[in-house]
Amino acid sequence: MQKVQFKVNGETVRLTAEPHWTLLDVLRSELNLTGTKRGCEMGDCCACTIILDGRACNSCLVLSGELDGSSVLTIEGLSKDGGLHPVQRAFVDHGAIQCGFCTPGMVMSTIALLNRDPNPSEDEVRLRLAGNICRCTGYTKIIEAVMAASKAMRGGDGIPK
Amino acid sequence: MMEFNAIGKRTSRIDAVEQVTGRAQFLPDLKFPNMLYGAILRSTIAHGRILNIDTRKAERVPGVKAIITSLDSPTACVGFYMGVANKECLVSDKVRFIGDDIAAVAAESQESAQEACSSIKVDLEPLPAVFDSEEALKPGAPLIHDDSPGNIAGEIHKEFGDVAEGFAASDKIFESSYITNAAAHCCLETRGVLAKVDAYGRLTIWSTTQIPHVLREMLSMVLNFPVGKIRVRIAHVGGGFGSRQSSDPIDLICAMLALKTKRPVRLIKDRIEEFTTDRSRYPMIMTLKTGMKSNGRIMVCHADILTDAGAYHDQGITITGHALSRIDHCYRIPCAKMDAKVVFTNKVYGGAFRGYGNPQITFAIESQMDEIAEELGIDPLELRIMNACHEGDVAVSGARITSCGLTESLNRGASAAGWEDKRGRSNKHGIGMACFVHSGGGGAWAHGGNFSSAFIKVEYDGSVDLITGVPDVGQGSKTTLALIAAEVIGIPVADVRVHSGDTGIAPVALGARGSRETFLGGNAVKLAAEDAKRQLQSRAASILGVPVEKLGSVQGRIFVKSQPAKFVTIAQAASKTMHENASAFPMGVPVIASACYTDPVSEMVDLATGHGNPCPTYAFGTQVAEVEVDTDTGQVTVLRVVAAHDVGKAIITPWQSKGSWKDRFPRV
Repeated sequence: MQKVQFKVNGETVRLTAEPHWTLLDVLRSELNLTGTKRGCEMGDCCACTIILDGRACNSCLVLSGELDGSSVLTIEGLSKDGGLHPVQRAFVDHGAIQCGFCTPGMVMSTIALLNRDPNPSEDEVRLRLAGNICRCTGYTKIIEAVMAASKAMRGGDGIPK
Repeated sequence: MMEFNAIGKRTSRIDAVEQVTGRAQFLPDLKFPNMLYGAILRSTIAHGRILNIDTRKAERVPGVKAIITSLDSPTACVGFYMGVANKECLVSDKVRFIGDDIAAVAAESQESAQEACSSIKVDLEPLPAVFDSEEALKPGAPLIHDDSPGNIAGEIHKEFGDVAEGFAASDKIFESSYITNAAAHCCLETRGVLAKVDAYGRLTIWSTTQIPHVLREMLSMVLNFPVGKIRVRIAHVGGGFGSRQSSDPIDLICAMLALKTKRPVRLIKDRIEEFTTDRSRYPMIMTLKTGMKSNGRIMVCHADILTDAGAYHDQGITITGHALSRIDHCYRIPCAKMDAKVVFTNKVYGGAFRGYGNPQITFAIESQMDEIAEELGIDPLELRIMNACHEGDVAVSGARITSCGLTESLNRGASAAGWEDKRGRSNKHGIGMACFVHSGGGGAWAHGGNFSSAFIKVEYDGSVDLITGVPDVGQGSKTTLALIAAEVIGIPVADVRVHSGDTGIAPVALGARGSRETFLGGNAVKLAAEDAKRQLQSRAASILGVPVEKLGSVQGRIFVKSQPAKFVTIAQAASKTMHENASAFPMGVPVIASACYTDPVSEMVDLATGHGNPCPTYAFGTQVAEVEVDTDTGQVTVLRVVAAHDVGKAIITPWQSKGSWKDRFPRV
């Protein structure tokens, strides 16, 4: 076991972890933050995407020992005051959700993408979200939601008419 | 056109906020105090006799609470059709595919459970295995089940009309074979189960199932446990696509571990287990022999299917039967012969997968239509239009086509795709089309009927609890059913809470499968909601002093139609308090309603002849694809797909319907 200290959703967390535990294990089992989903544990599906020090990251591929001093944002950290983040709002309004299992990872990847590039083209969005697998929707509405969120975050409303 | 207030209006899914905030709880998110973690030891060889299982070392792994093998497991087998089921939950004598279930462990942690599994010593005597359906039929092929000689899992033989006469009257006969492969559903959430036993020995199972009531029946039959002592529930479910309407021993194994340890046990497949051990799409070899007139009229079709069942029964026979029944539903065919063999092989066994055999047979039928068109020198569009079914047709097997937009879908699909201009334009650039027919609204053939039920409880604040047996596994049925209840009762959809997928509270229902949820579940909700509305309006009538016929209900109000300003709220009508001070004592006699809807159309198919109308409705469609071929590499790029589907009237959630085809065509 090893001691690690890092931030999750702005709060400092101190815990002892087995070195082989992943960030995904720590979030789900130790911190009960089950919004981050376990889809493949091989870095293939991106259902477990979180934002680690500003970058989208598969939490199943990060070992607990790497966490010391880092800052993690999960889906639970987005809407603290009860309101939805513009990306969450856009996913709801554009019907970009079916079973919902990929949704938290998809939302986190989108936020990381828009934080780095607030005005991406549709092709860029498709490329940057290509790792996030959705089995139900076929992506069309997800892309629409991301484009609308990008517009909303830049000042337009982006709400479907 | 009727005016609606809830249905047809763009609404977010009623569970969208839970999903987008990560608060929706899926099965792996459920946890109970004292919960144990399960793991399954699986076969590493495809076919072998079990000589010995030694669990002594595994028992000493710290944290292990139970290890079970076939000695602890009931002898009854599990399968979707319990009458033919031949899969032991934990195998006793032989393993029959890589991944077959040998033993299971419950332990204090997932790591202990896995360590114990790998410490179980299994002596296996390898046996010759067979991996190909045609090989499995040959004399001398390894026998997989002693009671299935020739590895035959089942056969189908049906004949409608005078087939010999049909071939005799044909100008040209076309015969080709088409082969499809196995495929995995790849639900984003892997299959899982959580079992818990209460103080009275009653079992509650949370499962990633599409069929809670059918699963309860399986548990009851296999464990020899009364149905009344089993409650099957779902959490949020991360997709089904048919896999979760197929059986898997995991639910039963988890229940056994919970019964043995008297503690909650959670057992979840990891992604590799999901790919290697869960049901797959049945591979088929389909031979179509079709007799044609030289003018393009289909005279007869003889379809012969060889289905690879894999190692055990699940739904190979019915899925093959469903594939065969497409033969005479899409095109007018005066006579048809349908034969099939379903065979066991030493591979992971198949199950239901979107379309229930339809993608396989449609690939065959539509490929052959193109071959016929080319040979006869007829435009493939024209050939299809010439033979298309129409409204009012009765297929030779008895299916009644009561509505049919096939010809319209062909014309509109072709026109939107620019069929005439683009056809034959360049040898590197191709355009092609395919049609399909699919059964809708479930059917009577799989159970004793085709039905669904609903309970409605109107709270005294005017909000409604809707209890339905229809499980929402991601397809959005909670939203659809909430819209129907809101429309009928006259309340905002936000005032409807839907409780679904729980056998403890909902009456028997057939599950989320066979495109039945909106048709059966929706009609049951509509009937129950109409009853609730009648009760509310009759209360309002006595408060307002006007006859019920003069009242309307909309947006939470019951009003006099001729004087809309004269109204009571639904809450006022629902709160029939007998206390003078209604605001302090609002609880009164409640409004409750229930209904069961039985599909009046479909009928039990005659088992001897196969004749009958198995489904309440049939849907048709055409898709046109434009592709480009790189002649250096052979790579095909899809440039554009036009989908023209006859969906009936998409009146409840048209925006969802619109999205789902756009989204689904690449991923059936």
